[in-house]
Amino acid sequence: MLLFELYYRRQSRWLVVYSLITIHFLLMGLMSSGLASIWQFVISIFTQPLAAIVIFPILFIIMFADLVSANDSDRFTDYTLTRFKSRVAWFLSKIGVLAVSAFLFTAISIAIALLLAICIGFPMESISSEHSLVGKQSMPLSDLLMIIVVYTCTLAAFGTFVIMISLFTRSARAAGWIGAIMSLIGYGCWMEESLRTYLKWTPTSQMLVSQLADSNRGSLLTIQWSFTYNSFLFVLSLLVCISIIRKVDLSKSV
Amino acid sequence: MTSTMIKFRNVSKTIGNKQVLVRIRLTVSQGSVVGIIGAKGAGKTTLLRLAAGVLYPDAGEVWVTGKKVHPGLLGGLPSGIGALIESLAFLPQLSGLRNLAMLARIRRRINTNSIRTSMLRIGLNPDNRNPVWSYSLDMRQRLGIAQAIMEEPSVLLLDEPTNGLDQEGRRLLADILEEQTRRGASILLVSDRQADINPFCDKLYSLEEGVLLPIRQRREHKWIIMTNSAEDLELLSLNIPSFQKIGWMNNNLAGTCMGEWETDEELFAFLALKGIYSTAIRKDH
Repeated sequence: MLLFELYYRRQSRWLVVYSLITIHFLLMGLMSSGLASIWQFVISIFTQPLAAIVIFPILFIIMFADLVSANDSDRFTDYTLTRFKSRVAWFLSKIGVLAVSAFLFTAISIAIALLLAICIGFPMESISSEHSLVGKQSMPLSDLLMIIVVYTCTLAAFGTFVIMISLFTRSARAAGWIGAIMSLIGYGCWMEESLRTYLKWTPTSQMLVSQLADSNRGSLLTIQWSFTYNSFLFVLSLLVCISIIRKVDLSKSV
Repeated sequence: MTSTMIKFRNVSKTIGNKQVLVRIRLTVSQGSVVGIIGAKGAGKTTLLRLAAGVLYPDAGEVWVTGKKVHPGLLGGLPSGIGALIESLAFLPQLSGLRNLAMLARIRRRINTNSIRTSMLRIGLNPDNRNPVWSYSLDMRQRLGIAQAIMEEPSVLLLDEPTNGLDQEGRRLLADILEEQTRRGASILLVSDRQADINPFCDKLYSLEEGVLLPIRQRREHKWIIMTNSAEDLELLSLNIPSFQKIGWMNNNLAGTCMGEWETDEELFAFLALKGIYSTAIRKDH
């Protein structure tokens, strides 16, 4: 099912999304000539608020907002659904695809950033770095691990939420727009000082790794909050999706 | 003893604002082929989707392989279904074999050899590495049929199965349907053209304004009738609308016709009733 869905996301869509990511990284690289190492470059990309709250989530939902509803128009449902024991099993396999894709999306993005950093010519520092995220003593690799975990969890939860909206609206495009608007609201909360207290309530702000890393120093978000928020969003969206999918018409045509 | 594999009991379905099906009653027994014809948008595909669990009825019940198809707690689906419904949606960048292998991986019931056998059976070369986007309509339709039969389902749901098939493909499809029913599979076919599915069906219905109307309840067979009298040959033409003269055969005048007679005795009895004397008759396979 994973391979099936990954192949289904057409090559052109993969190409567009990763081209945009590469262009973004390249611009970041050209504007960050003062950075001391490739690790600092990569970490700065993934902790930058605009990228974390808006760019990565929107690119992810461009890829996967139609994970359930696209099948309706492309008739894949008839082939895949009839091979499952229940609709819920079919849907859960799709959510499994979403979670694995969230991880792959993050890992591939990090790989592209590393590759670009090398190409741009940032120095490869020793593995211990004073520019690391968590603290002077932490290893850049542990920072990358934290980024991967936070991004994967948040993208999976946010992706499930967007899929839930696509089931309500019966339109992946509408769900994608709603997801994008929520991301922009999150970024608005970050930018506007007076709205920052609302930041922790928006789904994509849970990807603000820099805030999470500062959990113990009175930051806007904590790891505990982010974990609870994502878990709640994921489980709630999942349950709502299941309650819809178990009885809804999976085809609109006669 | 044959059992009922598909049963629609007073099934009604509305899609959008249109009532597509009205109190449908339909039974498909084990090892039989039932065909439904109707205009585009008449609700034939909806009927198949109800049997496949893609849709649930608004009223009435659908039973497939002895199991009621209804939402339940987990959104119940019938088991043992092979379906070719409406369009041919394959992953265009992959070969036919890889497409089928991906679908087969969901149930994990068959291996690559079984997939290859199904492809060969419908006249596709499994070693053809060309992507599906380069396939002709005929090849795509064959691939759709291969994916429907590859896991040896107990129920086959086929939407416009002859669509795009050339003469050779149609012959292979006929053979496959025969094989499938012989091993006990039940088949529900739908089409907008009666001629496309008529030869395969034991029973044939028409779907008009949401209502299922029986066209015939038995399978039609092709018969060859021989007689030594030109007068009897004319009587055959008059009494059997589908009768066509084919000339001389074994020193007799002969013709062919389609009919629901199951045995030679039934046909002889019919001819005797009409006062026609025939020297020989036989079912043409």
